[in-house]
Amino acid sequence: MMLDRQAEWTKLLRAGNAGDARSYALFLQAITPVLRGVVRARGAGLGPEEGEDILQEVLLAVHLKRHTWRPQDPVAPWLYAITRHKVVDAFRRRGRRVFVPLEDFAEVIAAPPGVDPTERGDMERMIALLEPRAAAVVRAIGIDGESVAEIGARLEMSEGAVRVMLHRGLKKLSELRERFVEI
Amino acid sequence: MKTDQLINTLANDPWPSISPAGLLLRSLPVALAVSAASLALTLGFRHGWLDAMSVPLVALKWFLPLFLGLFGLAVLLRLVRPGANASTLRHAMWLVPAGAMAAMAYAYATTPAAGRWAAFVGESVVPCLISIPLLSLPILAAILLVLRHGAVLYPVKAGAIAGLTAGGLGTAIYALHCTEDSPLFFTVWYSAGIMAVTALGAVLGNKLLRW
Repeated sequence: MMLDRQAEWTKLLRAGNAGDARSYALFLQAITPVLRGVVRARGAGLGPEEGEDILQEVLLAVHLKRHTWRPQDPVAPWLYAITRHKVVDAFRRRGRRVFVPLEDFAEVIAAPPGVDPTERGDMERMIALLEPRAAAVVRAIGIDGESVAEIGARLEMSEGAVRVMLHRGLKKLSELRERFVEI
Repeated sequence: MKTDQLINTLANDPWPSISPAGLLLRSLPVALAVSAASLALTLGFRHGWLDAMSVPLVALKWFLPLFLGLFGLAVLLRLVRPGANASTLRHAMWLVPAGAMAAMAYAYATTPAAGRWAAFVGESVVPCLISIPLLSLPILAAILLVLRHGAVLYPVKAGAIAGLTAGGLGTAIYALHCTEDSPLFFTVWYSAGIMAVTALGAVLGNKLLRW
């Protein structure tokens, strides 16, 4: 069953790599409960909110490094290596050391969101630090659920320009997170 | 922002167009060309390079650093992919220093005692130690760019291997100029130049390769 799950991830990410955004979204949705399980298993004593912050950090990292996965490879070892790296990193920056075993996802129990899939504070604060137009694009897509075309029309930008803005914004968010928590 | 909303945001960001290997294929040839052109315009290439290379012991001064660089590139292309196994290849890189040691031992044994010191100090230690790091710099820059695009888990180690690789390739270019043909010279001084680039790579890796 575990292997079925991982084969499904590989299939979805392969489709995402081929340009199917819907499959990519399904991939992210499929891995999220499992990654949440990893964070929660390591984060005893960590509130569900802070755990969700770390989960979002991991998701952002997986996203920004998705081109380091090759379609001919299975997803799980790659995903686990990134997850382990970012979880250890996130805890370290919060002043804790955690031990994340080297193996794989086999032991992980998928975790549902805790309390109402909370509005997460960290990400919100980071978005506020982006330059205004990038912040507007990220909020419009993420929070208001606007499409790229709608945003383009409203902000008088081409769709390509909106996507570039989004991409830069996401990269910047990841850099800001690195610095922010360290302070 | 809720996690579901974040996922939706991420799914709107199209897949990047280029893989780390793809970026390497574009950036490395440019860097190699810059280094080779710099050498051609300053010190120049050695006359009769091909003839010199027909002596196996002399050819080593080109092949050893070249192999070091090629091994290094293969290792780095794995280090940029989290979860990929790079350790076998990384250990195989030790073949290059082992080959250099063997060449040095052989040259030591076959060079008459009176000529060893002269062969070891040669006539161009200083240009060698300056040129190798300089010729390696553009290559190191291209490789670090690729590593940043990738996702290395150990920045210092990856940076050091980047330096070793760039040093190897930069030295292979310098060897197109250098006329010191005794392994007593080149195994020592080339290695010293490569180690300097390796140290620089480790320092830069620590600064540039975190994500």
